[in-house]
Amino acid sequence: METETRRSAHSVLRFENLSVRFSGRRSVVTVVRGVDLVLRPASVHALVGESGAGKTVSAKAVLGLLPRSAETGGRILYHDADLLSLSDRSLRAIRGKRITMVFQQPDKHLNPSMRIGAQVAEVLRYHNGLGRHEALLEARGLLDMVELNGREVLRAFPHELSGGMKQRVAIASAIACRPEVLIADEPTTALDASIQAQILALLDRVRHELGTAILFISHDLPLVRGFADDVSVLYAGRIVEQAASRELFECASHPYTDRLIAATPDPARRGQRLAAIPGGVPDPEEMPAGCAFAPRCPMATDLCRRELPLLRVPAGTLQRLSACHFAEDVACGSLADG
Amino acid sequence: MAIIELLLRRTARLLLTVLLITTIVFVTVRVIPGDPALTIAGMEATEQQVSAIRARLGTDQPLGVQYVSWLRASLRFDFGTSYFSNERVIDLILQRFPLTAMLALLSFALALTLAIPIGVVAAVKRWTLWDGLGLLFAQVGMAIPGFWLAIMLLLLFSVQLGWLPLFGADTPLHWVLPVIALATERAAVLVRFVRSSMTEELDKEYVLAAEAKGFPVWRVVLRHALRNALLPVITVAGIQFGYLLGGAVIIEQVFSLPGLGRLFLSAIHGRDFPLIQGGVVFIAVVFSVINFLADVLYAVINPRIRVG
Repeated sequence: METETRRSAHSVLRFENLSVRFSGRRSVVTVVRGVDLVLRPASVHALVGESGAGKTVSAKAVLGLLPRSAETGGRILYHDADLLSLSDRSLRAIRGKRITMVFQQPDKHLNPSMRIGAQVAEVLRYHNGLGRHEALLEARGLLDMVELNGREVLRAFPHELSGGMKQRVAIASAIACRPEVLIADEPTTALDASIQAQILALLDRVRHELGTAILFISHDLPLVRGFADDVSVLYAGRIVEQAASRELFECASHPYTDRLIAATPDPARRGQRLAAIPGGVPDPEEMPAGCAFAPRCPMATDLCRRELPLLRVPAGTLQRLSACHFAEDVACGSLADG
Repeated sequence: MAIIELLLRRTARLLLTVLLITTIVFVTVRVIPGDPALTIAGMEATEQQVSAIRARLGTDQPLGVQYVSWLRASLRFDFGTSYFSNERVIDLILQRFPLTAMLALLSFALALTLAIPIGVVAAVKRWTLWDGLGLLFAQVGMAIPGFWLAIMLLLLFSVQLGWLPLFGADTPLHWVLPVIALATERAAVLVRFVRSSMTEELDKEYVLAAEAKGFPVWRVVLRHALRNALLPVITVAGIQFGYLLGGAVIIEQVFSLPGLGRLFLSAIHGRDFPLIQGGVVFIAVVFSVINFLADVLYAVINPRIRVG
């Protein structure tokens, strides 16, 4: 009982052994395979992985936005409520209000025939019962808060705004009800590099000013450096490494993480070839028996191909988890040059 | 700015369409075998009488001259006088038009009131029984010719059951069967269109985003998807209205309604050139104007055209 209370005090959102599978006509494909993750209040937790790793599916599972063909297992706890087993009605009261979401492509996620003001105000009118006028007034304040010209943007239609502006609008509606959790699904991927930094800075402000915890989904590990507090690296539906951001970037303890860090341009090593990761994510229908990363891993042995490595605390560390048989042998950056 | 440009373009297109139609009508009527002067003069007329009639009708003039005077007159909606009743063609048309317009408008309204809810429900409940019923309605509605449905309705409700009057347009009850007969096929076409347009909208990501905001399904459908889904329907509905006018001609015949349809049919039987020409041009202009209005309405409702 006591541990339960303490636990919920330390997390606003908690995945417990989350799994998601899609049943098609002929086959069942498991996309997320037992993910555990804790989002602490007012913190940023980055969920990082290549496309197909199960990031977006996990995010959509939180808000019950998966298609009907999806089957979920495990639990997603928002405080003490399991979002996966809530009724539609109770879930609707949470989503958009207590837990909100910002999507990847800002130009596709706004209603093209509705004015921006009406779209932001709609959330306030629906969840907080504000009248038309008050809601628009507050919407304007929110737009100002995300560094847009609220007065002008209020009357604009989505096609009149740039991608970065639209993403700010999406953030404005996402924070309208002062949510506890914001799920950002690759919110900067579709944007220019300079705009990316601005949007990250804005999300950082949201976290500090509103105390909103952010589950930040990205394929770009270096992007979250300095922004995320915690990082979970997802590979083929499983978390392969989980650590505080500071520790993780200092030294990886899973070959995949190590490669992800190495696969980014580093000004200090200009002119050298980038270390790309050979091969691709295994087909979820033909998952290897052992470690899913083994086919691409330079350290892989027979053990890796035979036995699935479980998440564990590597010897000599305290605060991190790695799903590698040889976590202790992953020397920082050593693989990058190899 | 953009809206003015669009209005100018559409107006130009409207005028061009009407010019083309008048030309086609002129040529077609001249190509149809049969000399109206002979028809009017009758079997026993002398050669002199016939040429006198030709001179009166202007059909003795060279084709070019006839064409120019026809165009000039068309601009003023002056299609001449009927060969038979000696009334002005435009007056004859305007006398009969209200009934046909009423029939078409009522049927159009019925078609839309049926098609939008059925199409929307079918799209929202895709691949369920509701969807199946909607598609069945569309399939059957499109397969049944309007005139056949009209006759069956007449036989059942007027002849067998005696619930509704047989012929004429004297009371509101007289309108029930013609409107149903005319609307069904249009509704069927529109159901399919609304369904596919709505399906496409529902798969878009802004709909998912609206769901992520915690709105209930009906709100997402009605407040977000419906408006966008109906935009392309406006254009199609305009064209469907054209079919309605055409269909009305036949339905009027079945129910003995004294509208444009009967006027035009008797004009064709009698080679009443001015009335045929005037009738075709009139219908074509009405159809073009309706499509013009549909285009303008589309632009007014669609913010992307209005501003951008």
